[in-house]
Amino acid sequence: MDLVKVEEILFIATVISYLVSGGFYIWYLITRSEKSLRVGTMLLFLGLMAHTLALILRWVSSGHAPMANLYESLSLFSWGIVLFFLIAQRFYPVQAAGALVVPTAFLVTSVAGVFYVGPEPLVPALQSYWLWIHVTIAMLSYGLFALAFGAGFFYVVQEYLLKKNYRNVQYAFVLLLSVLGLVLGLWGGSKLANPAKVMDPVTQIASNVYAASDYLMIAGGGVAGLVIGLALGILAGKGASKPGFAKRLPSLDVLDEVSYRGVAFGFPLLTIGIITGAIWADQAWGTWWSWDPKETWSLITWLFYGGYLHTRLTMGWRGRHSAVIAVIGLVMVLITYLGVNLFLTGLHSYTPAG
Amino acid sequence: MHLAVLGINHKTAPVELREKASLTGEMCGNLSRYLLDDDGISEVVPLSTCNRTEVYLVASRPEIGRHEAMSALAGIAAIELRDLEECVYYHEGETAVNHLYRVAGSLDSLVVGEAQIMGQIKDAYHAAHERESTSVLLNRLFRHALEVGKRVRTETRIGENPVSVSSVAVEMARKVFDELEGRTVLLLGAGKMGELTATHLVSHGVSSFLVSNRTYAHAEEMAEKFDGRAVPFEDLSDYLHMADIVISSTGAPHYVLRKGEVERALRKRHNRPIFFIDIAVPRDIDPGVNDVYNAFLYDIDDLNDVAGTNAAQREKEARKAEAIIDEEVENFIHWLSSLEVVPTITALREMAEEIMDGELKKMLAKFDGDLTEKDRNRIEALASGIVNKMLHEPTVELKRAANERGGYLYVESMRRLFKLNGAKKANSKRKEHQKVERIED
Repeated sequence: MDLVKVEEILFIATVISYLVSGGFYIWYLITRSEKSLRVGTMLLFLGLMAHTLALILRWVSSGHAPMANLYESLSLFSWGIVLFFLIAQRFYPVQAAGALVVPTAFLVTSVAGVFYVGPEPLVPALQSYWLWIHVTIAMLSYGLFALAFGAGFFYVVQEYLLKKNYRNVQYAFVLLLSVLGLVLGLWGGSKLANPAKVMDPVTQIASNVYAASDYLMIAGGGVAGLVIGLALGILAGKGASKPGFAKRLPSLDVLDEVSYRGVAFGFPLLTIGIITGAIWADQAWGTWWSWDPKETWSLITWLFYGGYLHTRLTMGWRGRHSAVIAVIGLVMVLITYLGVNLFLTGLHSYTPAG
Repeated sequence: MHLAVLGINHKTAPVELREKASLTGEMCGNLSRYLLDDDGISEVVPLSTCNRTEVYLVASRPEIGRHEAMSALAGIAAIELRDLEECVYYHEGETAVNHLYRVAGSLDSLVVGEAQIMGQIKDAYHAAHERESTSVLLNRLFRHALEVGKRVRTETRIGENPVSVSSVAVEMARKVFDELEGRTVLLLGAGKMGELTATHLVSHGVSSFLVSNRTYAHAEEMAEKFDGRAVPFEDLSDYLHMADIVISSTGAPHYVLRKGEVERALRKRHNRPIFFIDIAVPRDIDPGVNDVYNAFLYDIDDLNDVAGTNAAQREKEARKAEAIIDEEVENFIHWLSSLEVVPTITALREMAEEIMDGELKKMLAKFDGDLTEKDRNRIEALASGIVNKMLHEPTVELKRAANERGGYLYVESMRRLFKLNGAKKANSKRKEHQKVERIED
């Protein structure tokens, strides 16, 4: 059997084990069954093993680090999330957060699957060891921010629970899931839409030209996603907004700590990621910084997380305020990481069209 | 042999009687010796806690057990026999086993799910074992009971959700702080509940206490109890920011802590959370405090609400525990019935005859029809003669021993030596045997 086939099978096994593991984590959150947690963790670990193998195989068959296209980098991203979560779970009692983190990893991995492309040699522009350094570091920081997001979201929920403010618990779930639904819906819509491609004669960069019907498709997807997210949010919020749920979540202390650690380690990595990117840009494009959308958004994200650390360290912010920043921060990360690649055009758009 | 238990507990007897019936270690020893002097009683384990006094025993006839245990208990605890008779319960066989397992699973406790009973049973059993008042039956029963208790605790969440107000307060505080070690507690007022909650916190590692009271002397007194520091009531706002947990139980007719003070304190401590426990009625702490960022306020109603949900949770878990207990009782009864003499002898005979038939068949086949009918009969008679002679003495001895103290030992040895597991349900039974053996190890 050739490597590509094996990699494909391993990748599918990964997606399935993340899905099932996520189910067990959610079940653990609902029932607190230790057995369910053990099975979930075991599956997640096995999934991570398969995932690691798949990435290694991809590396071998393509001859470069698996981060050249959206499939590879998304796959690497979810790999980072799972790795950091398993490490965090080893040292902190954050098992409950798995109900959010593992399905997120599943989602990211399956989105990667949507963008699946076979191994191919690198686009000339990417042929540099900087790719390896730049992308790995950026992905690690994204994984840590995702962890900070998960812990931050549950911090907010736990705080409302402990304040006996059950209505806000519901709102939190509704908001999270409807935003998630909206984003996924928009993205799905944009996949269905089929914009014309126009090649810029000077830069040789393809850009999308959207027609009215394409916008309608995207908007329709957004509405559908929003409605589904809303419904799920109401359902989840109902289940979570009762006193007993507080017992299943980690303490505020732990959630705050994990969220903070996520940002505290993620921020320097993002900084290095941006710096290495600038160095690479200087070598590849002859300029350190060209206000390409990805560069702009990563700067915004950087400033945002800088704000998190600043308010925390000098102004004594902690708790809910910080947690909310960590939650919104991931939205920035997603815009930087996915939005720029998918919706905007610029120097960083290496995604094969379609 | 009859397994039985006689006893009183918080459901059947008033506290005065339970106090009298509460036995010291020495009294338990006397009770055992007295009972074992009776030829009809072969094993005794007394169990005495603050909510129950029970005597587990093995008697040759059920009436003996009841009568002897009752008069012994009345005699040693100096209770009128008539008073005791009114509140006593007496269970035999399966019901007795079920009773002990429910006690071990803390289903029979005043607070369902409490954890102490396991230790008490263990101590009672070890004491009895040391004074050699137990043998095969009660040894296995008690070891199995401890195993059942452990199973109930690990497989159900019966002990997980606290049901008392003070332990709920600690549980909620731990949802804010995780670890309570190294936290500072401010104790306001000298209420009993406040003190109890503080004691609970000490058991979770809290060692730093500030105490304040309108009467400074009272504060000093309480501070001494918790190895803490008394602070003047008027200067409260100067100390509030030092506290991670505030417990208030003053008799003040108005709020002692207001929102403004709490806001200032939180600013002073850079928003590190404060957990307020207000157990006073009327309330001591302005309910608006709960709206302050990183301040969490629980009053007596909130705590009672949580305790109520927890109690309901325990009820649910108790039903799961009952199922475990039923299963384990069945296991034990199964083992017990294997110790009956008659089935053991039958099994032994069956085994011997099976071997004999097999060997005969093999042997006769070798002769290949060279034998006359008469020869065959002779050989068969020889074989069955040997078997019968061999089995005669053990059978008689077993029957005789069955009515003696420790007679189960013979039956058990017989079963083990000859591997008499009984043909029916062989598989499930073997599993149980292994299980029970593991418990014994």
